[in-house]
Amino acid sequence: MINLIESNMNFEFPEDIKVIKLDDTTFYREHFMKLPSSKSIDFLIEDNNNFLLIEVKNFKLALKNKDTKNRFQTGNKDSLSLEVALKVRDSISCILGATRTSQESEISSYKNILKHNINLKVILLLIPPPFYTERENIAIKIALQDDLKKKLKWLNAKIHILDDNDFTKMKPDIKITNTAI
Amino acid sequence: MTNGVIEKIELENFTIFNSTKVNFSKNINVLCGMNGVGKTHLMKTLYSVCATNNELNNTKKHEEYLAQKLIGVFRPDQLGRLVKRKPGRHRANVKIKLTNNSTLAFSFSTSSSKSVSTEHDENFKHINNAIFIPVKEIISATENFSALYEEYHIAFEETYYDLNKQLLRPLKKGPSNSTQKKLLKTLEDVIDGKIVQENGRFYFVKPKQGKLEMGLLAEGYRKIATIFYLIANGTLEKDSILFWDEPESNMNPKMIPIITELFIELAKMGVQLFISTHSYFLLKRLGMYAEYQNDKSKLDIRFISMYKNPDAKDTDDILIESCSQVADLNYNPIEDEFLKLYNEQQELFFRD
Repeated sequence: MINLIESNMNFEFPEDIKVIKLDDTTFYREHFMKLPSSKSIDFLIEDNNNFLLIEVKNFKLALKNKDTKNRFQTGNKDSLSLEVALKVRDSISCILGATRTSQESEISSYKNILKHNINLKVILLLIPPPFYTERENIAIKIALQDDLKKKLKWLNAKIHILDDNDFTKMKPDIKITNTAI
Repeated sequence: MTNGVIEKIELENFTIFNSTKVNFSKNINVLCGMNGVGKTHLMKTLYSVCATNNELNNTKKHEEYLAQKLIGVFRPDQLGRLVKRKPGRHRANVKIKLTNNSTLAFSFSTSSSKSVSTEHDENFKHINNAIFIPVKEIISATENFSALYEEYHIAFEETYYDLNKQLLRPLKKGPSNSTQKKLLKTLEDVIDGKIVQENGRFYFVKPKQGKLEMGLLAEGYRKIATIFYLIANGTLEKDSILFWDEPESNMNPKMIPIITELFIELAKMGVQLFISTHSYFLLKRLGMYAEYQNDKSKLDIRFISMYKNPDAKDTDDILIESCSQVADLNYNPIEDEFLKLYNEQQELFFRD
């Protein structure tokens, strides 16, 4: 069992799922981050030849203010969909770089993600702010997912925006618990 | 020689089009774009050519019949007015290629009134049966409509007359195939009844409630009734070509999953479909099928976006973008408008 914490949530992965936090790896910290503004998605997962790039965003404690609004709108520099798309772009570059570096093995063991016939999913695990209604949450997921799909169409991957309930349905073997008070 | 479905069209100086080429799928073609970019014109052109070949007999000249059909379907004051309006004298040129490799090219000038010039190979006559369902329904007004249309100048496009005649065909003898039976059952369940035709009038028959005149049925249901009867009387069958202009009009979004399923099943049956739409729901439903559910049937679903060339505002040039996934369309005014609405809603929400 592997436990990883991200955005005040504990992720419990079974042993047969291969997972790393990309920004905790030596290659990322010592090499890739030297390029200013580099960012990465949170989890890189290999599960039965399926690859998942997972970004976790927890807005459970978010305030209803302009900053939050900008995150949930599309077409501005602070929008969530743009941030995730850029993180995916950087993460793919990081994996490519690690694969080309002979000493590195932590990230490069995921090099199959770069093959053209591999199933690749990009997942934004989004815990919405408490002030949205259920219908508003659905609209958010549709809008951001459409925008993210457009931004990542170069990647030929499946794009999903899920809340924790949806995520548990999709990956029941990964347990999520909140660590926030 | 096998019959063909439509593979490609090239339009030059025809109605809104300067010079446009579009390749089509043999299964489902979804046309989207703003008003006035030529979605309906494209479908009407294809339909006019198909219908001419379907209806033509040895007593009429192809050149004259096609001209007559174009006038009937588009209803210009005269044929030459279908040439693109721009300075100078021009000829409209249209070329259509079928999947059986046959082609038809026709052209006419601004002064043409009764005939087009055609060039086509012999095999072009092997074209599948075409049906055009226009935006407004006609099933509630079938009685006497054909006679009226034939005797008087009434301002209806010929697509209504053609559909009227197709609706009034008698029911086909023999059993329907399993797909047709399944579709008819699905549609019957949706409208909770059957459609019958008596003496040129259509009725909706609900169990234990008797007959209801078609005009008393909700408009959305009349469209379902139309497709129901076209399947039941064998007009819409394997290898037909179906053009449906804005199927979503007058339909509640709850009906969209049903017509999406209908399109998928018709395509699987071998019908070539051309659907123009402004509906977010219909586009999304078909997009979801193409993205997540098309692994087994492997239907060729093409999303065709038509838009005015943003770099040539004065010339009204129409550009075409064609993708197998909705998300791949760069020009998608339906999704763009959804995002605009969403962003505006967020703006107002956070203003409170």
